[in-house]
Amino acid sequence: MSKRVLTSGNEALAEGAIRAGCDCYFGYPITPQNELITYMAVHMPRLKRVFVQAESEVAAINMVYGAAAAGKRAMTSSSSPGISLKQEGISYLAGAELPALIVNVQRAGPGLGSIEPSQSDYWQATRGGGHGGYRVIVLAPYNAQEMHDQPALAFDLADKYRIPVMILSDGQIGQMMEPVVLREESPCPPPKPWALTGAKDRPHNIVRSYLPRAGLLEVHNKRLHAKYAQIEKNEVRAEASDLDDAKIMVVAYGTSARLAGGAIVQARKQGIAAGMLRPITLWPFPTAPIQSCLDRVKAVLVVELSAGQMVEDVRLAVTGKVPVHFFGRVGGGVPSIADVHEKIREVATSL
Amino acid sequence: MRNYEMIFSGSGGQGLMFIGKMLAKLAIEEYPHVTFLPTYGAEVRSGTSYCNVKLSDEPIATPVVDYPDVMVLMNQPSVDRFLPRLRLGKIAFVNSSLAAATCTGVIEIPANRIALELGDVQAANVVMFGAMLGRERLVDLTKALEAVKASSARKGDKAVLLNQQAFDKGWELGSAARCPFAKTT
Amino acid sequence: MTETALYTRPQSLLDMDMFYCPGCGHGIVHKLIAELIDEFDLRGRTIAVAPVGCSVTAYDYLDVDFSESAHGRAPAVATGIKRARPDCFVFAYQGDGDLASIGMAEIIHAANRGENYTTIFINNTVYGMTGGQMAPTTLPGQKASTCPEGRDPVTTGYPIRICEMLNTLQAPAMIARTMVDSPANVRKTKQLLKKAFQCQLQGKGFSLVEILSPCPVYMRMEPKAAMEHVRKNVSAYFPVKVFRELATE
Repeated sequence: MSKRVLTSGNEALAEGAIRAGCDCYFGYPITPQNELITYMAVHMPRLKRVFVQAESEVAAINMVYGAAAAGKRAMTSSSSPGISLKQEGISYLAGAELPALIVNVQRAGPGLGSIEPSQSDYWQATRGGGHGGYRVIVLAPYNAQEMHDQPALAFDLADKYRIPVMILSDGQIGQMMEPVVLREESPCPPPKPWALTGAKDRPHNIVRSYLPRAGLLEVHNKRLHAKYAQIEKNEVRAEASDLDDAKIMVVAYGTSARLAGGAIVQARKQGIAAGMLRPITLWPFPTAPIQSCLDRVKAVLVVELSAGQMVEDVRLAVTGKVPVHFFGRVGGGVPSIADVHEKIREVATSL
Repeated sequence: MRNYEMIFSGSGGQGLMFIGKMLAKLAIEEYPHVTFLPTYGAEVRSGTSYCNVKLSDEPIATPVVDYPDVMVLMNQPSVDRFLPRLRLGKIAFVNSSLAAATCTGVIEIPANRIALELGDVQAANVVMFGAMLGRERLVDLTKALEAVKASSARKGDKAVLLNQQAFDKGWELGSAARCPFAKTT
Repeated sequence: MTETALYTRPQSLLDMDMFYCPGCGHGIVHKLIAELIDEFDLRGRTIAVAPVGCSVTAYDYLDVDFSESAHGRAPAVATGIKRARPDCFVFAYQGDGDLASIGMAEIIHAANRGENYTTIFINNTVYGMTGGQMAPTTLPGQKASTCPEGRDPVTTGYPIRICEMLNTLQAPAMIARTMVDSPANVRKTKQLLKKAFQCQLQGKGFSLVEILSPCPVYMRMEPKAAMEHVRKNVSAYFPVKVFRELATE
């Protein structure tokens, strides 16, 4: 067993981002992600990398935009209300095709809500969040190890497709400490010939999303959407467990997936054939992995810390072939394993 | 299969988060799965500061502890809040210097008094840590004592000695503690 | 007989027809910037930021690396660029609606951090790109589409003097206001821009040059009258002055 360290999800993510070659971090305090910005404040300057506590979430995301335009690996992190403020900047990043990492350690809403964990920003994250009809890749970690490992994946995908990538975590995964095996440093990212570096011995580069001349913006949008189609084809990630013989497929991510996993263990002890499909990418959504199970499973149960957001994507994947049930809690409430287990039993008796 | 679920609770400043985290850090050497969940944000300012610790051979689905196997309760509000969750056969270590709780499963440790006698009330959490480990033997004693000493190394030899004595005294009381009817299940 | 070129288009200024309105001040300032980039030989390491406003497509005219920015966010974008590439020369080109209204927080904090980049702040007292609405710099009584009877300070407040406000901060290295109403003042403006460039090149920190500039269309005047209006009325409210200047020659 490799050397493990006990660390909170937030700090695991921060260290993971550093090891993934994050050059610039810009943030603003908000609970429950403060361990992340604090970790960066300590460690980035020591490594002679950029750390700025911005005057606002709006400024932070625009600093990310600037650093990303300059060709650097740049990130920001926040929690739900702060992520709402960043949406303008994320839309600009998407429009200008800039790679960047945005971390949302979700808390409950709407409004100021509370600092308890929640998954109520799923729609905002997976539908683009800001104006203009765009996508960001959304990764959903479910333990401290994935918090640590996903920044590297996020930066690689961001650079590969020139797209903002969001890690959608929640307060519980961010705050909880778990053992983590620290990863190796990522290799240097590939060169970015489009980046702003000073137009030395080359034509000037322009980072823009404003295309006022007739037709250009439509061409640009079509290109963006062709890129999104490529990502949907190539980058779906999901983890299947106990699905080979399952009659009930539970679909859950993040904290909900942990709860569902515990409940499935209980259900199996009672002879209920339940298994789980855990989306790791929320966009692109694992539609095909879900569909590939529909010849065996008799029902689907979606578990979320929301009133039901991802369940819509699951229903779109299932297209009415089997019943799709939902179980969730809202406003910072977190179900117990017994609650989820009870729901699985209920679904089992309905078969 | 080993599976321990614990709550450490006290008032802010009593160092309960600290010993919960220390236990979790020690435990990752001995258990494949460990979680530590602190209270955070505004809740920290509400008076009771507590954390959940789980040690297990199996993956841990949720870091939230509903019905703990072991509790360490440092003050009366903690006892009032968490003792109702004590199930038959489980143990609560209660700081009897500050809280009253006499029921089946409670082990009373006068941690503040012991720490004061040793020289500093601040070591009360270490007394409780020693007592809990003395009885429950969740992690290696030598390593636990090393960690306790290392945690106060910065404050000088006097602090190291104090913590060592606090841990030893706690360990002694915990090892000897009789808790009839505690493990009937 | 040999011909001697006394004047040529600066190399960093692209040979394009500008889309700015007749009598607009942007073209004048663009040219000054291009001249200075040439004189300091900065083209190979300049990154410019143009936020939303008439000059959002300044990259069509200035042949340097360019980033567009969201409305008001140029100071944050410039901060990100300059921190990421401290060896580059970075300037942001902002208008008064952009800088003094929607981007007020960003400019104050960039100035307060002493970010080592240069802000060129065009103040023409009105929103141009969106069609002549009231700006935070619109003069009392000045008509605009969102104050058709003229700006009433009782309900809309008074024009904000940015230089004076930023001058209360400790960090900035240079704060100055100038205008481009006459050839003499255009030359003076160039001198101040040069100082601002030097501030950054010498690592002194944040520099800002506010340039009072005509917008004949939305000042609702002929170009010549707009120039005179800037000289007489605009500069009466916004005094032309070097507030501080730390660059060394």
